[in-house]
Amino acid sequence: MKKTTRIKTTWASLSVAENGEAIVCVKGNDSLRCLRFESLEQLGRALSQRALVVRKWAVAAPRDLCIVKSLSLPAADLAEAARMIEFEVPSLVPLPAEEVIYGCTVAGRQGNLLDVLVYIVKADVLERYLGVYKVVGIEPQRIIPDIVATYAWFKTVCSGPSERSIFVLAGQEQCHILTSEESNFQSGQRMHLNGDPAASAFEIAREILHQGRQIGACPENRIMVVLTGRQDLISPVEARLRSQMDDAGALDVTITAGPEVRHHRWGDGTEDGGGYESYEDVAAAGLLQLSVGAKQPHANLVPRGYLARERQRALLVNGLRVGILSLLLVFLAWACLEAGNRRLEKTCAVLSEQIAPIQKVAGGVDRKRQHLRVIQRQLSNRGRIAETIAELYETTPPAISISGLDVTWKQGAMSIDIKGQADLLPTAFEYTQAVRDACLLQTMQIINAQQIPRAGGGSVVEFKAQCSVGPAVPLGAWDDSAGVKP
Amino acid sequence: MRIGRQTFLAVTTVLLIVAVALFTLIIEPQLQERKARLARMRELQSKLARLQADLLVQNRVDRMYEQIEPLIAGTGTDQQQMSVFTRELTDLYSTLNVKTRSVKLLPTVKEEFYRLLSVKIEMQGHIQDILQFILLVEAHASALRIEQFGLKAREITDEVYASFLVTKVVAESGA
Repeated sequence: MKKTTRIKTTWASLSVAENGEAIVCVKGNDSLRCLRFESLEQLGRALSQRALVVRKWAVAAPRDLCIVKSLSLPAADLAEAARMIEFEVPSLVPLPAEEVIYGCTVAGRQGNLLDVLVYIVKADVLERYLGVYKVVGIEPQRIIPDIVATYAWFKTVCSGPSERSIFVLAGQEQCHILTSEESNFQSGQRMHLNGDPAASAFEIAREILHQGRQIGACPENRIMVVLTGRQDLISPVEARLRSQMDDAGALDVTITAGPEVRHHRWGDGTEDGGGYESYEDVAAAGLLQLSVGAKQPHANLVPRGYLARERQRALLVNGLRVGILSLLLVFLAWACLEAGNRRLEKTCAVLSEQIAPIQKVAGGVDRKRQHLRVIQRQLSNRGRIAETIAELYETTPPAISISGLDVTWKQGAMSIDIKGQADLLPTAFEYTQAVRDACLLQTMQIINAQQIPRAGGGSVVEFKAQCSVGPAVPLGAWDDSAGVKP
Repeated sequence: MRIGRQTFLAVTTVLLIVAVALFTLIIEPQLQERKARLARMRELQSKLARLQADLLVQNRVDRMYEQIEPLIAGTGTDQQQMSVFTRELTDLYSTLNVKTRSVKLLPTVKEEFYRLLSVKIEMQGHIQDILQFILLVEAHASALRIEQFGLKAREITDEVYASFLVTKVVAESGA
């Protein structure tokens, strides 16, 4: 791998070998990739240089760290069992419940009882263990016992129908043997190998047969054995198992390569290629599969308080992000409005600049126009009252006498209210006929007429009439083109 | 992490208050300012259009204004102008055989560029004198106008009571 390559991923798993090598497993495009670092410090440098950017870490807890206990609980599922375990912990280990952290996996079911494997670790021990990771800036979201992670890796290989299985991983110095019943993890064994492959193969085969006898309740039950790891070891093991088939009962031996894991040695640019699986590689690969798929949530050994703090921190960070974004949004809205206002101000300034010179020249026009209008109004209909009274005098029949006149202007037209007297009622109404031929007087309307008796006998008719006068004669001196209207 | 109902309500309330405060303190003043500036811009645009139109008819208006300028001239205070106005009216009816019953000065109406003076006169006299007064007012050199005219005859004689509301226009003070 070249130094310049940058890996960015959501999940990464980490397993540390006994020799101090750190194996990081990340998901590649087509397969899992295991990156081998010489030490945690080298991994820390890669992280600080952001050559490796990981959002969430999963860490394998070594089996030496955990106490594994088997427990039968009257629980419907593992979640319920996990809640019950809190009360069972003091009976499992001589420690108060608050000083231990536990995880659990299903081992089987017997009627109403759920068999679970409980992985218990002391809180301070785990804290010390996590300390080395914290130094390099790793705060894991998941801590899973390595045997659970290894079992998960084997489960991807063996998805057959067999109820009982033995998984064997032969490494350079150690061999790991895991057993499973009804697809549930049962136990994990670790064997230290000596240098002689033949002797080691003999030992491994013997242990497999022993484990087979342990989990095989009846001779007719077939047990699937999955062998993987060093070819120079697993081939003799397979041969020995086949030669002892009669003694072992019904062993179904399978040799599998398992899922491909690509190995890279960080820093020197070499690539080991696929095929060979060390225990740490397998644990890291299984751990990544569990973490990405969010499987075995109850096997997580991360302290509850730590998780709560993490969630609180995430909530706070998200809240802060939302707050900052909201403030940014408000600022942007303010900035947009401010920019709009400034543009408007600029437009106003430009308009004012345009107005100033014109106003100097044409500023008095409006005033003059107003004066013209009002003078025009004052001078319109001049002589109208005198002419109207003269016409009224001429057109009024002799039998009618006028006792009162009220001349008003309504919307530029003259209106006259007339009070008068007539000898007879028809005479009063004949008045309207009399003004019909007049020039100025137009329609006359009797609005009230009543006959009133006189003191000396006889009677007189008093009436009220309303008369409209024709439209005013335009002066002609002003015209509309100057904006002056009557 | 489960968020309790009370916490949720409290956070929602606080967020609402903050949102309202931000809107009131930051956004709304800008919106108000924008509204005011838009109104000012439209006002300036219409003023510019009006002035440009005025510029086109300026010569015509000036020519017409020269004719009426003496009619509206007057730079004194309201009191001074009212004094001139009443003197003009007195000059008109003093030559006639009429008796003034009352002369009432009405409040001056102030427009943007001119003032409208109003006087209400009640008088008694021969119908011919009253008509003569009307003719004199309507033919006066100043821009006088009879807004209202009332005539009453109580007996069958030519002696009548008349009331007039006469107005006069003068330029605004200081013009």
